[in-house]
Amino acid sequence: MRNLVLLFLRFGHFILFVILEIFCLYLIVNYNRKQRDIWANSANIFWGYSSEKWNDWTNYLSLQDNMDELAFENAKLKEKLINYELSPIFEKDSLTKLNNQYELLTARIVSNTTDRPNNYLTLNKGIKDGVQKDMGVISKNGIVGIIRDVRNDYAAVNSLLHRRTFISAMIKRTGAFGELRWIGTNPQIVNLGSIEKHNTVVVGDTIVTSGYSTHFPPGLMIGTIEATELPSGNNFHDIKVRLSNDFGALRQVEIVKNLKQAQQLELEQKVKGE
Amino acid sequence: MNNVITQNILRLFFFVLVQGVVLQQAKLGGTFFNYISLFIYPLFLLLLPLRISKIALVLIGFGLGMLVDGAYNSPGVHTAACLVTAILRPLVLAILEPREGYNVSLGLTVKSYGLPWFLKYAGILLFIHLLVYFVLEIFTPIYIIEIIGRTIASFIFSLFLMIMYMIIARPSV
Repeated sequence: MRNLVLLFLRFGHFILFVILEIFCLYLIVNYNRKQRDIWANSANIFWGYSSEKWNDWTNYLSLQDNMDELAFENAKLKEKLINYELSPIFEKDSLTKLNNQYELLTARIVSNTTDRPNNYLTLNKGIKDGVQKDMGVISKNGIVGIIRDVRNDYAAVNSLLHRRTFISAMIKRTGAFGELRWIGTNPQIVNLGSIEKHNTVVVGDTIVTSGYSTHFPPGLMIGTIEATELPSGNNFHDIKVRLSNDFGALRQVEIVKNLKQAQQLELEQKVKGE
Repeated sequence: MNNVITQNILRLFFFVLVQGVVLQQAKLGGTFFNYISLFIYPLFLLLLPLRISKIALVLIGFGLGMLVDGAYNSPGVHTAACLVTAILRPLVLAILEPREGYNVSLGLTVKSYGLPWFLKYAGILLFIHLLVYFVLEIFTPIYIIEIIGRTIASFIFSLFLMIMYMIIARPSV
C-alpha cells in the first residue's frame, strides 16, 4: 500500500495525464462530427480488413475438409457420368433408372513411392469403407493402380509403376487394345504391348483404358504415345507411353468399385474351365 | 504570492477571451489564412509559476483546454494538446535550465531569462502543442503533409504573436 502511494506521488501526474488524454480522445471521436466520421470509417476499414484476414485464416485451416468434400462430390459426379455413358440408350432419358455399375470412393494417399522397381501406395480407406482387393484406383489425371491388399483402415495399392501390374489399354483413335506394363526405369513411361503390326500407331495418340478388365471403366485417360517402333521380324509394336499422371505429385485418388466384377470374373472363370 | 495568482487568473480569462473571440475569427482573407491558426492561449501554461506541482499543471492544462474547446465547439481537441504541453513543460524546463539554475522568485518570462531562452522555451512547447492539435484536428494520417504544413505555418505566426504579447504587456510573473 505504501509502495502504491509512493508510486502515485512519483508518477501521479503521468497517470492523470494518460487518463485525461484517453478521456479527450473519447470526447474527440464522440462529439466532433468530422473526427467521429473519420473514426467510424477507419474503424470500419480496420474491422473489415481484420475479419477478412481472420476468415482467410480459418478457411485455410478447413481447407483439407473442403478438399475432401469437393473430392467426394467430384467422385459422385464422375460415377454418374461413367454409369450414364455405359447405360443402354433407351434408359438414358430416365436418370432414376440408371443401372449403376461403378461407384467411386475418394481416398487420400498416406504413402507413396516411385523410385523402386515395384512401387506401392497406401490409401486411408479400408475394409470399413467397403474397399476390396482388385479394385482399381484412379486420380483426376489418369489411372493409378490396383488394390492389392486391404486392412480395416488402410488399403495397399500396386501402383501402375509395379512390374506385375498389367492393365488392359487401348488406342483411343483406332480401338486397338493391348497390355500396359511398366519396365521399371522411368516413372513417367510405360510400355504398351500386344498391339499387332497391322495396326497403325502414331506418336501422340491417346491411350485409354479398354474396359475389358474388371478393374477400370472404359475410356479413362492413361497417357499419350511418346515413341513407337516395329522391330523387324516382330509381330507387335514396341510402344512407349508417357503417363498423364505424375505419380510423384499424387494426393487424392478415387477407388473404383465395380459392382459387377464378381459376376464377370465368375463367368470368365467358368468359360476358361470348360 | 497573491499577486501571482491574480495575475494568472486575469491572464487566463484574457487569453481564453482573445482566443475564443478574436483569434478564432481571425481569417484575414483568402484561403491562405484558413490554413493558419493563431494560438495565444498555450502561453498561459508556459507562464505559470516555476514551482507549480506537476499534477496541478496537468489539471490546469485540462481546464484551460476545456475552456478553449468550449469556445471552438471541438470537445477534446484543444484539451488533448494542452495536456501534452502540460506534461512536457517540466521536461523542457529541465533541458533548458540555465547554468546558474532557475531563480524561484522570478517568472518564466523574457524579462527574467532573456529573449533567446524564451524563444527556445516557447518554441519547443508551442510546436509540440500545434502538432498534437493538428494531428487531432485533421485526424487522418494520409494528410501528413497538411498536418506538418499547417503546424509550421501556424507555429511561425503564433510564436510571433506570443513574443509581441511578451514585449507589449511585459509580464513579470
